[in-house]
Amino acid sequence: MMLEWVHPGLLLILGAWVAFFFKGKVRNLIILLLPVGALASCLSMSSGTYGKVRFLGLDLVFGRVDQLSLIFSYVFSIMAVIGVIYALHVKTTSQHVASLTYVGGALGVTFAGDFISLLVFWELMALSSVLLVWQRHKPAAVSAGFRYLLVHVLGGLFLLAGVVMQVSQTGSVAFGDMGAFSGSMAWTLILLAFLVNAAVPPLGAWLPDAYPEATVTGAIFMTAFTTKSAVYVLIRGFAGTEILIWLGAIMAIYGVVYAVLENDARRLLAYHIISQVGYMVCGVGIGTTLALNGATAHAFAHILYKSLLFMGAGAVLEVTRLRKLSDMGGLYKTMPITLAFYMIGAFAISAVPLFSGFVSKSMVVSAAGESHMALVFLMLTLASAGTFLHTGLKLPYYMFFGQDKGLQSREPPTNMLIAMGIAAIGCLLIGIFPGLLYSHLPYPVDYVPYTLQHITSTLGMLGFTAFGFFLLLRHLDPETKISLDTDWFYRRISGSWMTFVRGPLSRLESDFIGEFYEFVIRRPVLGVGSLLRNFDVRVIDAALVALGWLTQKLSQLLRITVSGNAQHYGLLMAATILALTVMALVVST
Amino acid sequence: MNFLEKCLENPSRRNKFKQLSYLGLILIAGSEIILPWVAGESHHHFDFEGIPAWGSIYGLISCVVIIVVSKLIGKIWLSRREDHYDA
Amino acid sequence: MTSITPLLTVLTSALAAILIAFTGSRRSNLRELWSVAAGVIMFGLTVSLVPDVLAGEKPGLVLFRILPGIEFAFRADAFGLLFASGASLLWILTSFYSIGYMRSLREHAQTRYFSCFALALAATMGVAFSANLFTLFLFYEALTLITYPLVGHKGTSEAKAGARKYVIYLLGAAKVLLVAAIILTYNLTGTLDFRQGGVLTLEQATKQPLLLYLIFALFLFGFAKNALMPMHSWLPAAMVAPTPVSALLHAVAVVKTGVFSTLRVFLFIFGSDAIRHIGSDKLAMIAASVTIVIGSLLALGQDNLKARLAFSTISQLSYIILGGALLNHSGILGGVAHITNHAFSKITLFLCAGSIYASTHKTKISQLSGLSRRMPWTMAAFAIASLSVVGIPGTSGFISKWFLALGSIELQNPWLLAVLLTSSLLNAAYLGPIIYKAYFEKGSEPLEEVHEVPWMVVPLTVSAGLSLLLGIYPAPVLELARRVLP
Repeated sequence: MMLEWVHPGLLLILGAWVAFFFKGKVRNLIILLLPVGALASCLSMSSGTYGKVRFLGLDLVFGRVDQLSLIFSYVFSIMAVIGVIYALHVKTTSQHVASLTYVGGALGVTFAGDFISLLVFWELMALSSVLLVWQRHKPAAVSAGFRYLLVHVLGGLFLLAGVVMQVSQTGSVAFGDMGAFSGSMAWTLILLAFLVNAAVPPLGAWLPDAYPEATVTGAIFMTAFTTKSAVYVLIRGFAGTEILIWLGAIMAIYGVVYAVLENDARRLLAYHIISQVGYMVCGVGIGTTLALNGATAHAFAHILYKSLLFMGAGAVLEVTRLRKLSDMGGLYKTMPITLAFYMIGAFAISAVPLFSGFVSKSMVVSAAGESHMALVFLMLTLASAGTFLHTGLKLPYYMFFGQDKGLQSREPPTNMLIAMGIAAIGCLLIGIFPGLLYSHLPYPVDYVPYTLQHITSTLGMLGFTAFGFFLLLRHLDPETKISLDTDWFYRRISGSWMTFVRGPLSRLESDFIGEFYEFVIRRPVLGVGSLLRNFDVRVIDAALVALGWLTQKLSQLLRITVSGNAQHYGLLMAATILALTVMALVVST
Repeated sequence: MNFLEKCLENPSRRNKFKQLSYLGLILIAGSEIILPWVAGESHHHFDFEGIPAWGSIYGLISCVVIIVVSKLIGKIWLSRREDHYDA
Repeated sequence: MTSITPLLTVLTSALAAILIAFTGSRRSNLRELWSVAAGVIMFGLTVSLVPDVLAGEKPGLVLFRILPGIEFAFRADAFGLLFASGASLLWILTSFYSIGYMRSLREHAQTRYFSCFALALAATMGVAFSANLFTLFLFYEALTLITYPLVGHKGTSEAKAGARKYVIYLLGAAKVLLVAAIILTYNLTGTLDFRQGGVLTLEQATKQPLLLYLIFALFLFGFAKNALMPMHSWLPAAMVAPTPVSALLHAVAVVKTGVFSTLRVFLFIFGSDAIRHIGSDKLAMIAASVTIVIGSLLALGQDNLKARLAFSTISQLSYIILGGALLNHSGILGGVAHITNHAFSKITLFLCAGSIYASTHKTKISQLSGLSRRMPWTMAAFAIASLSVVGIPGTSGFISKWFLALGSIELQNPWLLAVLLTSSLLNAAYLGPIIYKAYFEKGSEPLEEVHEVPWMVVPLTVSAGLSLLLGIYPAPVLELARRVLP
């Protein structure tokens, strides 16, 4: 039987387990070959529908291959290769299996043509990514991972509820544009589920909570897949939904605002994920072909440069064991290559000309312009300034420059540098030759990023942001504080809730309801029992005793009749005859 | 001593670096202002984009606004001690 | 169609019980052989009934008649067969497990244990294959009495108190509530037979709605083995039993007898129209929803592993009752399927708890840190079964949840859906810590001497695997479950 099509996701998920049987170089080879194989599979795929299965009376489609799913699959597989190279030095194989399963899940989501296969891979992603957090084994990571898991289970439940409603109403489980069902309960629930994974505020606090707690290598994977697969499904199902425009614009600023206050390097970058995803969500909301192309392009570019940024911060973390900006400084002397790669990522995210962000982010902003949404345009541009401020200025300044703390450090292991190098090349390549990316976008592109006007105004914005940064430098010193996000609600409330459950509710159940068998049955039964016992002792026994006494007395009385005295017999006989005669007389009358 | 160290550690080199940066800023703002006259029709989505040196101005404003507003929000509302949740 | 096979299943393990008692502890291997052999034969007998039942037949026989309409009779239909096959298959697994458990802990009174276990399975088969309420009631009560020595096995004062509470609840509810319900049913209809479409029809419902409502409530709460709140307290009390008892009986046989009987009454004594007319489906839905949510909440607060699993069971059982109360195709399908799906998942969890106890003597969740290193199979099985309880797609629990959700939506009731979702979230919340503690937290004590017991690990791996398999290939369960629908 010829296999028409191999699901690259399944290749990764099932193939990863093979790695358990090997060690050392052989194992490394296997885990490298797997994502390369997946990439090859994606690149050689042709559009069509594959992998149709019938389950529970519904049609499942595991392989919906078209322009949109293809481009996402390319970047996911490329990212998998980069991530595996970066993590090559990690000895515990279970971390690699978790990462590859996670990527496999993302590919599964990308190719899912129906809601049930979507659900399967959606949950698989949640379960495998929480492992990436937990595998750091520190108490903070364990509890952050648990919160992450519960939020994603909740999101998955929203999705399930929405899907079941959709199936109930339409009889079909196909996953496509949901515009026709806009406003229905099913539509709302599915959208909510997608928004949770896209980390849209107020549902997105899990991202900055969990990502900094993940392992150094695990975090690289996490930055790419959950949020971008959420963007993919939003493009697929909710393109043109107006509320997304505003949610996206607000997200873009939200991330940037929180980043000002952040001290933890990876958490700062995590808030920037929220900011950048905001551009993508906004693009999905605008819904024009330029906007959707922009969202897709930005997702592609973002995966590469965000992973580069996290790889840089991760390298610093790996080598110095430091995560807080307030503890760092002066690293440019000992980690210049890391700094260089990091800055390439920083320029990419800031949309510096010749870097990938310049050709992708501007599509979304342009789309806002073309649709005459002035406020959105301004918000997105403001957020761009903010992005450069934090990622391109604040973080590298305090991490690599700033006050020299005399830290012991060196460049990270070679595999990490190679991974960063690949990502950096990608960022530059796309920036210099945007056509490479544009030709794979879902819709035809007639956008030209390199206009003189665009270049100069971008450079102006970036340059004067830098000027502002140095002007206000004193005010930006990182403080050893945390900022409250919407996870405050469930973190604070869960504490009091658990006290209630363990206290009053538990006591109500065990001491009251649990013991009511005492009141309803045992006590009454025992009560009746003792009542009967008393009755038995006092009345019946007493009656028997009395009867006995009576019999005794009677027999004593009757003893007179057998005294042996003839006179007594005569008296008795006479008395009896007299009594009988009287009785006969009385009865006859 | 790598390239960057040579640049930054030496105070006279640092000053030169600063001067070059300021020059760069002026050039950028300048090119933004003269561009409409040199290149002719520019494609603006909105009217405010027509303000001379729009990119530079908005960049500076954005930067200052973000820093000021965020710090303010942090101070009055969101910033807490590191061990806030550990109680 | 007359067949003695249903009766044979009961007799097989009854005979095994006698053989076990006679073999005694001198020839313990022979004694254990009777349990396993009986389980295999019993499973084989139930499977042999499948082709006939799928063809629409109902093999059975009448043994004797007491009064017109009151007979001691057996009948195997799809519903009973589904229950019986799951219970007997899991008995085979639990027998092997019991061998490992009892021997590694060097437990006392093993003959009494194995003998009563076999008898308990006989009673369970009897309930599954009952043709009418009378037969069902007899076996139902017998089961309570037979499991009493199993619950109180340990003989400590705590065990005796727990066993006493167990028996009082179950016998009390049955004698007070069930007998009344049965008598009333007989009075109204002149029969106690189970019929598709019910014997209490819409006609009677319109004439005497209040009486029918009363009868319904008496049945609902009288079958206290269904652990519907507030009749649930016997279940946590019964956790004093050795873990294999808790596993098979209180995750599979005893509690499933309760929900099975409840659903039997819903579907085969009452007609759906009748229930809807008198509105008692709302009573069942409310009681089940309350149980689902509060059971899950209480599970969160328990540090004792078995207690947490006990409350989880209480909560999950009401899924089945809820499904039955929905009275639509999807709901009933989901509820009936959950009888099997939950059985496989929950038994795995309990078997793991017992494995942990046997290897480490630990009972509290807070003691489980880092355990996965020394007990990898146990914790892996626990993780897989937890996924099924939460209802992750790809596991058997997902299938039942899917249909229950579909059923709730068909009824246009958003609250029921919210109950199901809240409970799923809570399931993750109370099962998650056990897993992450075992895998990702550092244990405080060294665990060098801890070994898993193979006799125990193999059965729990098999049941974990089955709960996954049924999630990917649910057809066998669903085929039988579909035939239960009116």
